[in-house]
Amino acid sequence: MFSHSIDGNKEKISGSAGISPIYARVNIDGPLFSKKSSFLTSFRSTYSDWLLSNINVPELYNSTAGFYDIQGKLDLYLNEKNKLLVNFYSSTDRFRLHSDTTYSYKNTIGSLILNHKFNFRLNSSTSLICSLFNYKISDLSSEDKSFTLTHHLSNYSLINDFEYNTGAGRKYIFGAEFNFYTINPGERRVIGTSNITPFYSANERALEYGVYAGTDFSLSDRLKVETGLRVSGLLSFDDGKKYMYSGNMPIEVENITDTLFTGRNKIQKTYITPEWRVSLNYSTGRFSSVKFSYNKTAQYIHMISNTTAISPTDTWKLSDVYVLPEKGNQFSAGYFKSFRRNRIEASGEIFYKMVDNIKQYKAGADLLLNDHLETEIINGKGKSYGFELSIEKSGGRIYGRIDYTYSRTLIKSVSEFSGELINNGNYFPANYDKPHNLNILATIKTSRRLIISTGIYYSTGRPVTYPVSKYMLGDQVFLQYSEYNKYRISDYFRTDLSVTVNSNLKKVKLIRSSMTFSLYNLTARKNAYSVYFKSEGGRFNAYQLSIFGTIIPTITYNMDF
Amino acid sequence: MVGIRKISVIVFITCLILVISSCVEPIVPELNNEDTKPILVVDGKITNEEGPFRVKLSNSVRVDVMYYIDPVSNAEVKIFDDKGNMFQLYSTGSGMYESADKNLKGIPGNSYTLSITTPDGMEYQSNSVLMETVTEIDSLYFEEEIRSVKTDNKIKEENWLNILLDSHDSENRIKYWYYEFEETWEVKLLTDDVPVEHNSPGSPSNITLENVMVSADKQVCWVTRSSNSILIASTVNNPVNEIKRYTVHSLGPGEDKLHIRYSILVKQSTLSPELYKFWKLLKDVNENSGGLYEKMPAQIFGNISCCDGTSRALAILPHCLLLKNGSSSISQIMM
Repeated sequence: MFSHSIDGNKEKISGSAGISPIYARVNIDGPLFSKKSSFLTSFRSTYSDWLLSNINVPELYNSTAGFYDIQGKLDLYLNEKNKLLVNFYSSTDRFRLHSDTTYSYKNTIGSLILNHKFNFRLNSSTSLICSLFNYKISDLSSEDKSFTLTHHLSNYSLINDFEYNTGAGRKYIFGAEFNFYTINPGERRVIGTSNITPFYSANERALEYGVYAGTDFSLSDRLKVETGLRVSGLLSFDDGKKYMYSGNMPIEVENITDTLFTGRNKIQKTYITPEWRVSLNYSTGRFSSVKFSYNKTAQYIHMISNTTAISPTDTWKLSDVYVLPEKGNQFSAGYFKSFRRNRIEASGEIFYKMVDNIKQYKAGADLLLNDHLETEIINGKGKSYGFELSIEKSGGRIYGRIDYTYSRTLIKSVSEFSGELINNGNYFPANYDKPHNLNILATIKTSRRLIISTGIYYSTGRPVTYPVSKYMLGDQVFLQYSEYNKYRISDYFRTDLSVTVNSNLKKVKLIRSSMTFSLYNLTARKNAYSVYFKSEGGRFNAYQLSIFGTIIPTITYNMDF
Repeated sequence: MVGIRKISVIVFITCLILVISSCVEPIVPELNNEDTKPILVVDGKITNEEGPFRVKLSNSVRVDVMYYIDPVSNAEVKIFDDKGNMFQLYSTGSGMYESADKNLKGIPGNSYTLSITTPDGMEYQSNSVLMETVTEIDSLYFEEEIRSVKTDNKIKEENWLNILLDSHDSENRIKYWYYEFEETWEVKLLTDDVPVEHNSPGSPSNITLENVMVSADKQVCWVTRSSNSILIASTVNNPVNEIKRYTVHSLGPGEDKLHIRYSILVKQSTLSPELYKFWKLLKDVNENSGGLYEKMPAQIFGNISCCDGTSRALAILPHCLLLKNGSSSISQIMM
């Protein structure tokens, strides 16, 4: 609600910079207008492209990888009752891994937030946010096979939040938000001489709204309650073309009975969902507490993801007449305790969640450049449960944190037509089901000048569907696959180590510097990014693609001023 | 100074190479034995061409071994039509079963059912499939095409020959089309020197180039091959119900089929919606281009099952097809 991000330094201009063989960063922040306001800017970039174009090494020949982002923030004091925050962020990622296809992603976000104090009890925050995301995949190498694939998501929001404190330990919050989405599902553009068919899509548009009210209060000096209701909804607009399917048949291309060409500003479908939440926090002692909570949520935008593909071509889709919103009910309970004067904090939490209308894809689903995605998606039911344990030690020379989560997410497809069911309608693991997840972080300050830190990350491999047998029909050999998501790819494991040496701190210097030596993926494990099959000489061989599958050492020189 | 610059450039490059190194390595998935158990594969068609009814039975093999044919012998195979007729099929070896009567024809309008009892006693039954009516191919023709292909940063131009067809159903009933072809081409012995393999027991085989006398009538041979990909089309969303310029086959520079004489025989059949969906799924899951446009993999079974559906067979079945053939002969094309 109220943004709590890093504010610029209001006292003096300060900043920091860092440079390593692969990338550089710089941030500067400082006061503005007689120290009541501040600004902050930062910029990060890799410069590998320029260097790569000058090197004649085969692996690098056809590869390029670049990233940059820039952020600017203004924290303006208008008067005693008003503060205006202006924020801008933009990032671009580009890469091409030893092939002719270039991927590029761009994110741009701008926001204006006005914080207004009515009186000592009531204040509000009004935000206007614009967020744009797009990606582009292109292959312009040969004239007759060139193409550019694009996907675009933009979001304009107006949010107004109010907070009212009664002074007797009771707080009320209420507000409204409007979010206008425009998504271009995917287009393929070609140049004149290309043999590839172009594909254009109309934009999907919808307005998501929410109105909410909630309150926090104490029932006793040990029991705090927080509860609220948010009514959310979606107005989905016509995009000009709608397919009609025959009534009691599955939604499939073969069952399209009519194509309606409609006006673009009509509302084709509305959804409305009340989202309740309640949470209880009970202090069992001075340093421990127990918490229970229940949440109901609705989601009107969905990520359509083809995880079997070797490349990242996830797209977004809004709910409409055929694609229902996902609704979830989540229960959780947790126990928190801190020891040794808050130096050690430990917590344990269990949760259970049920989701309706979770999106599942039919067999042979064609998810890219498809203007009737409803024929490839079926609604399913999902359940997710597990527990999370975490312990953190701060203060002193050693900082450490261990987080372990066990969680399962299972989905089953739901349809009145048995031909559409996956795995006969039984529960199967979701694409992102990773039962074990362990993260360990530790930082040791061996002296004032030397800091060693390490991270260990482990998670179970995600599910995958493998071909299990093959057979012949006519002169052709075909593969038979296992049940969907029955197998798993190899587990993910990575260790990082870094050593930071600070410059001599004896003198008070204008610029403090440090050098960091780090090793990414210390064990050089080839963590799988994707698994795919190739038919070679009568056999089907399985291959695993890993990125950064080796130790990567870097040196970074940092400066603070 | 120069030394330091050189070292830093090397460090720089090493870091870059490592950062964008992506590596592909083979893996051996560990497959559950339950999953790799052989499944009955039934390959059969009933057509309106005169000939025996034929069905081929085999077992599937594990994906991680070289493909070998595992025929099913000694099974009992019967075909029933909805007019009360039963056709018994007898084994002719290698998993092939044929009806005794060699002059049978499928009749459009009839429905057929297949029933199989395997040597180990499992009884399989297919769904009843209606044989649809058919229509003729309007025309089969060829076109030359020049494609530019990029290899190792050089752009080459290649000559290709595409074989296309047009078809339509004026009665607007046929929506799903299936094609198969048989191509035959002439090959000639170019020289009298041929490699001859000598196999004597106890010593390794020896290949030498020898001058062999071949009589004139044996110098010309013909090779025949059938289509080896799924060729299907749907006109369900096409108001005029026409197939125009459907590419049946493409011949490129790597092939010598067009050197002397070439002929292709194309057969067009009609499919029911259920069978079209089956072929399409099989094609999507097996013949996808990989990369960006990958399709979701799936377990595919056909329309034959056993024991209340607890066991399914892989099949394509009396996907009643066939009709009149269009054929075209191409000769003396210079490549």
